[in-house]
Amino acid sequence: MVQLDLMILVPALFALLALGFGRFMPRMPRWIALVAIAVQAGLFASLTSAGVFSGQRAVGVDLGVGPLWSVALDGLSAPLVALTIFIGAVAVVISWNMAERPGSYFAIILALQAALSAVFLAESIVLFYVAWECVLIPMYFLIGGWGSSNRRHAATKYLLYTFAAGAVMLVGVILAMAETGGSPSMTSIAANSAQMVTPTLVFWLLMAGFVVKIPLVPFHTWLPDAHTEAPTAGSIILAGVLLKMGAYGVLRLAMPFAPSAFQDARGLLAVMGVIGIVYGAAMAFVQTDLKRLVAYSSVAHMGFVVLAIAVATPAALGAAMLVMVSHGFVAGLLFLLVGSLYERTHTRELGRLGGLGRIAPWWSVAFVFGALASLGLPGLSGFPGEFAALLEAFRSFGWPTAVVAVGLVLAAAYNLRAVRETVQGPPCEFTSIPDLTSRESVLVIAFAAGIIWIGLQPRVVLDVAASALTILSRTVGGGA
Amino acid sequence: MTAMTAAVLTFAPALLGSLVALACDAFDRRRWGVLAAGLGLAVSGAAGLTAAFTVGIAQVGGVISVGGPFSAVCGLIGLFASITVFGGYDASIVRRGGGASVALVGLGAAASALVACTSDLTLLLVGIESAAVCAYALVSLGSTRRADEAAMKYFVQSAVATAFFVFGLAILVGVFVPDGRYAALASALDGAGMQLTALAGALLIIAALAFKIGAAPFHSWTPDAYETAPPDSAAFLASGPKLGALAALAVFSAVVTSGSLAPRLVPVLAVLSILSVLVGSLAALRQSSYTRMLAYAGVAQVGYALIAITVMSPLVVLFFASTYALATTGTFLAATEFRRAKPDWDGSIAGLAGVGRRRPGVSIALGVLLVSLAGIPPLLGFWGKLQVFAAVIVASARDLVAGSAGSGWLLAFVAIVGLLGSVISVGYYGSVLRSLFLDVAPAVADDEGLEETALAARPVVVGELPSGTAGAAVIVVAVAVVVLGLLPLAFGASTLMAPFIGK
Repeated sequence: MVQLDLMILVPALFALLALGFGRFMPRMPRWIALVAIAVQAGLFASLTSAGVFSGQRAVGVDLGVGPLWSVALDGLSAPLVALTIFIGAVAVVISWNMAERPGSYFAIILALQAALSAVFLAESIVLFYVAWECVLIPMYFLIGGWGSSNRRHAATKYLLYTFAAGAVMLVGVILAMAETGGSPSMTSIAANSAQMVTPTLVFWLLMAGFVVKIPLVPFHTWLPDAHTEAPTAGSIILAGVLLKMGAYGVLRLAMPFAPSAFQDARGLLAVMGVIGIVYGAAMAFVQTDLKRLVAYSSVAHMGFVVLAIAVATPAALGAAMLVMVSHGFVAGLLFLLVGSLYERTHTRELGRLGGLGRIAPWWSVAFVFGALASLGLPGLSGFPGEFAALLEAFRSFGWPTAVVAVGLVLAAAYNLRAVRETVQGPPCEFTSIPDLTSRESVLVIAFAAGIIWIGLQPRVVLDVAASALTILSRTVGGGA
Repeated sequence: MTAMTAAVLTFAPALLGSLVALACDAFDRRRWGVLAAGLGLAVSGAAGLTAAFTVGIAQVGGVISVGGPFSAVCGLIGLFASITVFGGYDASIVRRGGGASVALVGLGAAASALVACTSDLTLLLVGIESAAVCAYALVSLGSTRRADEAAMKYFVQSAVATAFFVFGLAILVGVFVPDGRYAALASALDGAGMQLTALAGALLIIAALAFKIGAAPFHSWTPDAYETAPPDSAAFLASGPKLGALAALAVFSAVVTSGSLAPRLVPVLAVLSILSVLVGSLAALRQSSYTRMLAYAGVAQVGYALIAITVMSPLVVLFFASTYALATTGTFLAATEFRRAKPDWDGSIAGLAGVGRRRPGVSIALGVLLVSLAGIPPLLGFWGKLQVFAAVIVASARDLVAGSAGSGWLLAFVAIVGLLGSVISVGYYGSVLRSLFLDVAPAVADDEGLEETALAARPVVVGELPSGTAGAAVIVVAVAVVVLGLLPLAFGASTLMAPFIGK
């Protein structure tokens, strides 16, 4: 189906347009970006008849044998592609009034959009790697060119960390191809994975790239800097979509390519996931910078994803998928709110904020909502995924899972602390800041609708992914 | 096209163009001379590339190979040289001895092409020395005291390397084969006793070639030479002769390691590659001068090519070296452009701060080239590095599985060092990106305020010149790097190798 190919090509081509127009017509790029993402969404919606929302697999244009360009969409990638499109649209709308080099800015957003879509759509492992690395450069410029005060340091750190991890992953990609007959097709590599001579080596080489991206403690240190220094749209894309690349890579590459190695690694992954949950929450609790607090909360949420993946039963993998999508919405919403607050106050210091409940009531309502979603309030999207992950982990690993409870308590603590120090408390020095604009309100409502919808109807995500995840779980002997 | 026609068409137009350039210089028609040289080189290049696809590998006169990889490399050398000549047009027509300088490029390109496609050690020496003579002169064109000094140092060190080569040649020709042709050499080395003598001969020649390609520890001439030469001359020095010498080294190594010398020579090549990658990367990281950084980066890139030589993948060497040479041509020409646009530029990386905003076309093009050199997809340079790493990883795994643990682990170590170097390369290439696009020059800081309100029409920055020929060349090269980088996605991994595989 040509729609799949176009979903990557359209944003890429529109990026060039945006770059070209930006110099002479500064108002054009944002429309170009919006149209590109609308087209992407339309293409995605047109796949409904192919059954991608009920877990069917769709493949892109077949160029014959040899080409490295081959794309496919199945239940594993469909929710993440949808998330990419939604977050992309949010990123464009939130930066609607971007005045600083708008051409380059929207071109970068569209380039990111193309690369991220390609990561989730790639069927050829080489295309996957190409797309994976293609995300680096635009994000580097987005952070470095439009970030806040310490942006250059954060951008460079981000680039070096993830490129280094990607270089190790490349060795895994080459080995995986070489040891299974040389075909770049992921399906073929997974089918021939029994031939692999060194599955454990391949698994860990691939994982090197993924654990940095997820990120797993202790490979997370690029994240707080990058998320904090990035412009709002950058943070939203980083937290909303980029972090999912790592977990998606585990599900799509590492597990099916080396099921036996994954079996051996399950315990370690579970421990690392739990460490991520507790450590991320603890670090979030002690932050004095609001944006950094949200950034560390991502580490904790992604810990749940890794824990669920380590359990590997169909239900646990579904939970992982659910947490990923939910986190995309929740973190996106929180970064949007923190960003809009920063635009008005030019500070993210918790110590200088407070009493915003009276000053900016709508912002405060939205923030409380986001914080509740983040701490996993039942009825909101954070709850079903994390609860199911815990349940499955307890079935598989037993009482040691109880350590996660510490993380849950801390999650409540840091979220409520964030609420207390911004929304409640004595009024701060910013006594008259404007409340949410109508544009921001629309985005907040969209986020909130998604969060409530997934919270009440987690099946919308689970049903799409179910069949792919069941097969995957069977491949790796999940839950055994 | 017959083999003979291919050989003639590969060399004659370049030489003719150079002669015309010299003649035009004498009659003070410098512009025509530059154009003639560039055109000659372009015709040579096109002929070489055509021959790569249409002529099967054949020998002309028993000493020159044409067709397939040989013609492809010759063609690319001509093409890259013509890009530097056209790109350096602005600089050449105002330079004293401008006609001579393009003639030197033309002659140097022809000599480098000879180096790449000869199959006779004596002719290889002739080619290398002709290319070197052109190179000394091109460096001294910088016409500063430092350039003279660099040229002198280059000359003296190069003379030592030549002496190595001559000694090696004497051993191989004197002891093993009467005429220095590769065909006879391979079997002679394998059959005869006197393995140590053969090893000494081969090592001397490898050392000499390692000097010519600027591999560590024979690299100390490159930073001075590239930094002090006019950037458009350096653009040629860093691409054509390097590509030619790498091709020669790949072929020579394949010849001498085909027999029993392999177990002794492979570790030497591996050490050369490890040293080059490490020394080049670490030194490049510490440079503040743009062209000096490029020179050290070139040492590291030669290290990657040596990795492919170590695992005996000559086609990968040629492909990787070509991707490097193309992008490097553009990076040096960018320096020409920056110098023209900003006469007070001190040549430092920090001095490029804010240039990205004032000259977006050239800067974005240069950014593309640097990202490609760092090996980040989907650009051309990535496919070169992918081939190199695939070659060494597969070879290492093969050796380990086959039970020869020694060479397997050595190759694995080489691969790890290569990866390390590749990560470091993001640091030094990235520092240029950072200066160009992220740092703000103190002088243009006033623009900031203007850009805040820039949703209205953008103010035209005063003093913005249209791109010169160098800038145009950089953009052309960058477009080529992007387009060629996308081809494998659509047409398969072997698309870009097609000219080297040939008919």
